[in-house]
Amino acid sequence: MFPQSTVLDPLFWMLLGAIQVLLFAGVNQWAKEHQLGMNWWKWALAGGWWFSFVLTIAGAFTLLGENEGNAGWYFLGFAGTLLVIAGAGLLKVLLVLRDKSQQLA
Amino acid sequence: MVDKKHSEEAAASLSRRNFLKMGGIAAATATVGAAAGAGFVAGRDPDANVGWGRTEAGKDMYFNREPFRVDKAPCLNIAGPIERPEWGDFLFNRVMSMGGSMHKDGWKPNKDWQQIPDPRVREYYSRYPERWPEMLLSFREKVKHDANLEKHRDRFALAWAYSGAFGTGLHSNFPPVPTAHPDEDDFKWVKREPMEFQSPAHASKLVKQMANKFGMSLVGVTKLDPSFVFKNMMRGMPDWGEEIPKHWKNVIIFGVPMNWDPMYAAIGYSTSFDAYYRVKQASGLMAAWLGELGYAARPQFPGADYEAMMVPLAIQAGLGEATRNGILMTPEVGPNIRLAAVFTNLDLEADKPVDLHMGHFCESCKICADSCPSGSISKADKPDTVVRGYKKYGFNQDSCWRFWQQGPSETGLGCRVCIAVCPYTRKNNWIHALVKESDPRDPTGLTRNALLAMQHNFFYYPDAENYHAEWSGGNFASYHQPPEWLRSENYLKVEKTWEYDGNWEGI
Ligand code: SF4
Ligand code: SF4
Repeated sequence: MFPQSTVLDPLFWMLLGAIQVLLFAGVNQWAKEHQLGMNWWKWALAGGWWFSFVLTIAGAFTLLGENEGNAGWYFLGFAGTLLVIAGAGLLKVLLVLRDKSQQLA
Repeated sequence: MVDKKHSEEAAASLSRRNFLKMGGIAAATATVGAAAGAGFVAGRDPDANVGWGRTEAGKDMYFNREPFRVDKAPCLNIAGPIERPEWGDFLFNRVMSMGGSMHKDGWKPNKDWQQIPDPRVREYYSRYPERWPEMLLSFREKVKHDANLEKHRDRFALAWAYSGAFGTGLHSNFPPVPTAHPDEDDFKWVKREPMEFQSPAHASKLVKQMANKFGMSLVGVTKLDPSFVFKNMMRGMPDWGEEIPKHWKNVIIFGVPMNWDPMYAAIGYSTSFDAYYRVKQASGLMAAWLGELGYAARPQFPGADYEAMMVPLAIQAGLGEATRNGILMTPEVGPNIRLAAVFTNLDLEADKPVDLHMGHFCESCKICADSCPSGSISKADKPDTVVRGYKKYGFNQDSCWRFWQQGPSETGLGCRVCIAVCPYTRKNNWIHALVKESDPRDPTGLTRNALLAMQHNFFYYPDAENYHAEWSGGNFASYHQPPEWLRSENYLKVEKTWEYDGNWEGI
């Protein structure tokens, strides 16, 4: 975020890493409240989706930053739409599995 | 009392839960913002400008070629008897000779190439008579170029000043152009008996480090292959045959990219002179350094001071591959590279060529051919011609030159659109670094196909005609719009009367 900066750049990445802990705690709380019954593969899928989403945004904005405006927006629109659909699908699966486990209980 | 304690605990737990939930949302929002911000500045980061702008040690800007070394360059396919290039094959020889005939002898170019005074130029057009109309047109187009240029100085003043500054540096006499027999001239800086290296490998290792220290971004070593040495020409000698001096044993070949942002803004805002100046100086420094250690050296440098063809020698030294537009393509800077070399009698360990599958990419890409404003690059699916025994894509150097003469550079020299639009011409930021590392390692071609689909569908390329100057039917388009520091309206008292056609940040 702060290229060539001796202090700000490492601080930025440390802060961003710390924020991910807060993010995980928050998502965990939401998941508990909605009784999603998160296990290792559900976490892996959710984490993978989040990583891809963030990477897509970073990739699109990198293209914008290097003056590839068209490519940046198209990439965001294309990959972003696919990821939003995939994210909605993943949420649906998590909710369906919760309903099933509640029915079984 | 117990109830109160319970309700306090419940309230605390609720507020902790709410804090975590809201904190999670805030963290997610901040992360998305940070990804966008970090991505944007990574794209803007001048540290992604591979080459002389970065530290010479800059480890991650170099591509590790070792896993891709091969004995034979995949792009140097022999399909007929090998012939050495002729004097007339070198465009600048023809152009300079015809210029001399016009100015000194009053010759006027006309439709009949057989009336060209210099028999060596005639020999070339006897082989390619279909190219003469393009060369003829170039003379007329240059007149038009010169007549229209001043009208556009307000717009291009800073770009032309930048180019002109390097042009002045480029035309200084260092290293000096040879003036005597190579057996004498190449030894003019030799100060002592040769100091022996521990081994050719030691010599190569040090020579490469020296090239970096002299400001070069990429360097390789190869044996001098006679098939790429011009016949019938030798600087400093009015007459020369086919002889190759015995002390021309090895080639140290190196290069730097042109400054990235002007290069992307080809034609009017770009220049080759910046990189030419740097590689020329480095060739002189390398020659002088070799002389200090007792070795002969023959620098080869731009604009036109060569006895051999640089691109195939660079391919043999493993700097990259040949591609559709005929330029050297490197993994670090694509075709955005300018080369110089030094021939020497120092024993060196040669590098091997590389196979990075660039040829496969070119087969389906064709972006340079579609963008070329003069239609000089072949659009064939596979290499479609044989030149001096090597299979390659057809390239019409005369129509390319015609376009140089009509394009919106101050000197009428250079275009560089095919370099700017090439998907390999990418800075060293994280997305391109990932791509350049994965594509050569992907045997399925999936990476290549995905990239090409993106290149063809997501990226904006101005129409080929739009790269032309207004005086020849275009709108001065460039692949990228010019950088802030080359826009005269940002610094000079000029009235902006133009719009830019080219890629920009899109925000
Ligand atoms: S330099 Fe310009 S005219 Fe020449 S081949 Fe490249 S794009 Fe075409
Ligand atoms: S633009 Fe495409 S076809 Fe042309 S040299 Fe680059 S990769 Fe090859």
